[in-house]
Amino acid sequence: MTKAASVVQGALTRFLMERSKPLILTVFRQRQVLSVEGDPALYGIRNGDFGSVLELVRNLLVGVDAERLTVWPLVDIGNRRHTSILWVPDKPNDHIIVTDAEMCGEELTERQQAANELALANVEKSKTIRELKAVRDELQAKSAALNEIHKFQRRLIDTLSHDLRTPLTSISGYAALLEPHLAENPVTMRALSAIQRNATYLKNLAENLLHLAAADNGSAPLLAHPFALEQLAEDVESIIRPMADGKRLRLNVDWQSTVQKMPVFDDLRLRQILLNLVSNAVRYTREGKVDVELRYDGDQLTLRVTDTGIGIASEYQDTIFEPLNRGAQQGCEGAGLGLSIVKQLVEQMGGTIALQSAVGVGTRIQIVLPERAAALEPAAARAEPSLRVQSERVIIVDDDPDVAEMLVWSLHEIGYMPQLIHDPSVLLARVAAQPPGLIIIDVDLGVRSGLAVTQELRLRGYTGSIIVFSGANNTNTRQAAKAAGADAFLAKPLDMPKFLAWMKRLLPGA
Amino acid sequence: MSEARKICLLGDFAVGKSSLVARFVRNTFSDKYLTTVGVKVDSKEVRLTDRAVKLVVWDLAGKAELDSLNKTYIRGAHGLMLVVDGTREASLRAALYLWMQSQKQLAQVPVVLMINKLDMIDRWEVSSADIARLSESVPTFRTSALSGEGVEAAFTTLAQRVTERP
Repeated sequence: MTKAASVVQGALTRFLMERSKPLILTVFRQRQVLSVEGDPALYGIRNGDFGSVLELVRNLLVGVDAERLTVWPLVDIGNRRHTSILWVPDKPNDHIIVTDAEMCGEELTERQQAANELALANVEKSKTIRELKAVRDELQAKSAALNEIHKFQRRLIDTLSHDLRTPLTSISGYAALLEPHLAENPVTMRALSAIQRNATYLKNLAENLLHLAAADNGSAPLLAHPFALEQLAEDVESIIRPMADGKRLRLNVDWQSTVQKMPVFDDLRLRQILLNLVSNAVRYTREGKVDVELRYDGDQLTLRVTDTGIGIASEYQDTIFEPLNRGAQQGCEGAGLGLSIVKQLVEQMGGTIALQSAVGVGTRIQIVLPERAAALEPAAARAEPSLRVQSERVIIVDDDPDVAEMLVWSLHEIGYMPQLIHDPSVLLARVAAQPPGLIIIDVDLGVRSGLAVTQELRLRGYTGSIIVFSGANNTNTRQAAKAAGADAFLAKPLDMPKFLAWMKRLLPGA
Repeated sequence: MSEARKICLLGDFAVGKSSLVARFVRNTFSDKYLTTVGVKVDSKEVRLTDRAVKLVVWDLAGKAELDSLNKTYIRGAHGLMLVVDGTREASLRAALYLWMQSQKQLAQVPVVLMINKLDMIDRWEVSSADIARLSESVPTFRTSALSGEGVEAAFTTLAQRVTERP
């Protein structure tokens, strides 16, 4: 070894000895310490008690060849103090060298602790995100399921309401036709009155359900146009009168306009509001009267319905306009939809409702509706043009035998001999051979839409009048009927007095 | 003097290896997480039906794979204790990977699997089906260092197995 090499080796040895602070034990059979070099206190060894170090080394030697030099780096000897331990066999005695790894171990511990804590936090974060996503997915799935249920309910209500209308047309129509024939028999007249009253109730219920279904769809826009206040009053009276008469109640319907112009509102909605209010008043009045007032001053329309009925207790007056709320009239009939629909419609029309009621005295509901020019839409959409009847021949096209027979009977009553056709293709052939003055056609013909047949008739050059009627009393169907070439649209169930009035007016020879 | 057997605890970080050793050797538990650096060696005598065995337990720093330091430590081990955190499915994959890697270092040695943190079973990600499948190939214990449930049984089983080998 050169002198330089010797100097370097010496310096390196001194450096390493200072850094590693070795404790060198010479031991006999791993159990007896023969000599010690270094400071045992640096490794927590006090009073020459080397038992724990010898125990540790014996444990470290388990499973390894004690005849070979072995190194165990970064061994925790307690209290998170780290050492490196060397086993140096040297028969008959052996050596244990313990060196300080604290600088390395301390730094490593800190780094590892921080890294592991960060990783654990990330694991928790990921888990939380996964859980939140799962909750979100679950909520979305539940929301979708609820939407499906909601859609199904709407379709169900819609279908039921439509399906109610067709048989109600037959019931109301036949009842109206029977009336003059049974007028002399009080017993059958009472029965007929009950039929008419219940048909009116069902018809109102069907309208309300349809309104609910349409409102849920957001497809019930207001359609304002000028209308005759007198006509509205007459319509409501004619519908409710049988109910009132059946209960021996006095029904007074009064209208008044202080201006010359016609009011501009959605008259279908007004009719729905009034029918709900007045039928409710009749339903919950046992004796006395129901007064209906319609007032128009050019800016607003006031509807007032006053009854001498059972009244509404004050604790129910705040909730009476909530859906399905029948608390105020326990034990009485009714689905509990009417007043909630009235409230919806009044709010939609920008109006206000005021309720005054006393139990045992009666109830007054007043509605004030502002006329809003901005809400105006083309009135033509629901205009009912006059019929251009060119001859007195009338054809009825309907595949529902009850409704068809009822229409035929109705027209017989006013002197017509209408032809009844179930098959649209037969209709086209008949019209080609001899055009009638008027065709009354149902939209839903089963095999083919009445609207398509109407359009084809017009395309083939038929110029007579066509009345389309349908259970779907909505703007779309009305507009589709007009677009197809119909002259008038009537909703099911047919209002028979109104229908017959139409016929008499349009067919003067009747 | 009872015979001594070296067993090593392998598993990802923070699965509870040191806590299981503390429960087994000293019957203590601390919920403070302190990472292990390098190795800590403890021992405990286990009484089996026909003999006693001194288990020398090497608690290795938690890693998802076997690094050079841990390869040094497991040399000469008679058995392995694989530790999994039941609330972290990834720690099961780590344990199985460590087992696979250790087989290159060691001859076939007995292995026991501990699915730890049974006290947090409502948050477990490791499924019962997976545990049942693993049980078919390796003795598997659901353990809690917190309550001690399953700990003694797992160590005793490994002690039994490692003493059955020459």
